[in-house]
Amino acid sequence: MKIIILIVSFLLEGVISNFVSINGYFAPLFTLVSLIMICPLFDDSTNYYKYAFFSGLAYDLFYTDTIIFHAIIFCFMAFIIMRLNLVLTDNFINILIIVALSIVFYRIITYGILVFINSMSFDVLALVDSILKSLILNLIYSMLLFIIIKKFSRKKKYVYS
Amino acid sequence: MYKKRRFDKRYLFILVVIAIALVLVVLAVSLQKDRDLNPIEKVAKDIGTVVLKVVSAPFNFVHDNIEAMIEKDNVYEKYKELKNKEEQLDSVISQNDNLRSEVDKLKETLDLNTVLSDKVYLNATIVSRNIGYWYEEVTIDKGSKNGIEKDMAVVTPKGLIGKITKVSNYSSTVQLLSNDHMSDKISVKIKTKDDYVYGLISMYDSKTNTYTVEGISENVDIDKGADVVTTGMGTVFPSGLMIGKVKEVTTDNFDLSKVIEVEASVDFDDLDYVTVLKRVSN
Repeated sequence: MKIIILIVSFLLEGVISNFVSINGYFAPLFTLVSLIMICPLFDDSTNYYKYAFFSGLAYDLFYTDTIIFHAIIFCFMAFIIMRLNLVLTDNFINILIIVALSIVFYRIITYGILVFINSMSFDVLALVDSILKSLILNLIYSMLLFIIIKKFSRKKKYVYS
Repeated sequence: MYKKRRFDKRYLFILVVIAIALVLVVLAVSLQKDRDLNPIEKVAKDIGTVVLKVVSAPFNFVHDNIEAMIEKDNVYEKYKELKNKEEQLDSVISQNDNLRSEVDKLKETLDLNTVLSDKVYLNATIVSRNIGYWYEEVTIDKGSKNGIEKDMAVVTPKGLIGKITKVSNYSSTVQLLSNDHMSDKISVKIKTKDDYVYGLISMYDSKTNTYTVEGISENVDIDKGADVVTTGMGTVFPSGLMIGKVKEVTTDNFDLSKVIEVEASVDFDDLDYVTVLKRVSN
């Protein structure tokens, strides 16, 4: 279940990128969203970090030309997502809040690193813009995933019940 | 016991600092724009391109069919538009032939093997677009096995979109002109009444889809709507690639030179098929 959600989301992110505007208001971050959604399905945090690392590595190799950039970022995001899951319970609204907060953290961290290593020039408006452009589509996708996981967990007596 | 705990904390702190420093060094190396892909990356990129092409195929099929259905409604208008263009075509073809023969004669006279505008064409399809948001890159389904090389110019029928920055066997990464680092200092020429004036692109604004061209003398008259094309100076872009049309002409803060807003001829949000140009060198 977890690996299927992750792989489908990963591929869907690549496919959807071809049908939305490059700088439009529907920037897909489906791999990150799927990582957030599958977090409560893990009993062991080490396993979750492994998923985060390898999905980030695949992201680097398949989609971007950065070697371990996303592998590290996704591991860090996994840490943040687990902390947020400890604070907020697994209901529909809280999951949306976790997704929104994770997207904000993800954008700030990636932008911060790119600026720090002099790959980009600093522009607060560009950062805010990137966050706003990432929220709509990814929140909708997280709702869809929530419904799918909930249906599945009813059968398997998983979390989200 | 107390001493041991203090030592452990210091040891941990040093380890964390070293780890962060190492991570930053690795990231700085991996994010270098002009680095070449290693063999593992090349293989992964090729596999990714094939997988994405297969997964995208049904989505593209539906998308193309919907677009074809929408276009069917405008067939008559398009027919009229094409008929008008066809009437002008004969004169353009004869003019083109005339210019081509003149260029050939001049090349013979000057004993030149190539001119700045000579190029070879390779067509490609975009398989993924700007994933990761910040990089302003697209991936195409042609690589070194198809003759693609680093720094080749990439165009659409509307104009220049960027250049090849990374090449694997069966896929390549195109850095778009919408990226800050790319559009900086591209040499362009603007058509005036009977000549060209030369300038440099200094930035791109994604909100208005315009480039800013600087370094143009104050006493030159430039009309709105004039064509802006590449000069062919430098090693990357051949001459005569369409950049856009003049949108607004202003002067800089010191009234010493003109600053020109150029509306990009390409819509960077709507890229599907591209052509890679290989510049022919002597």
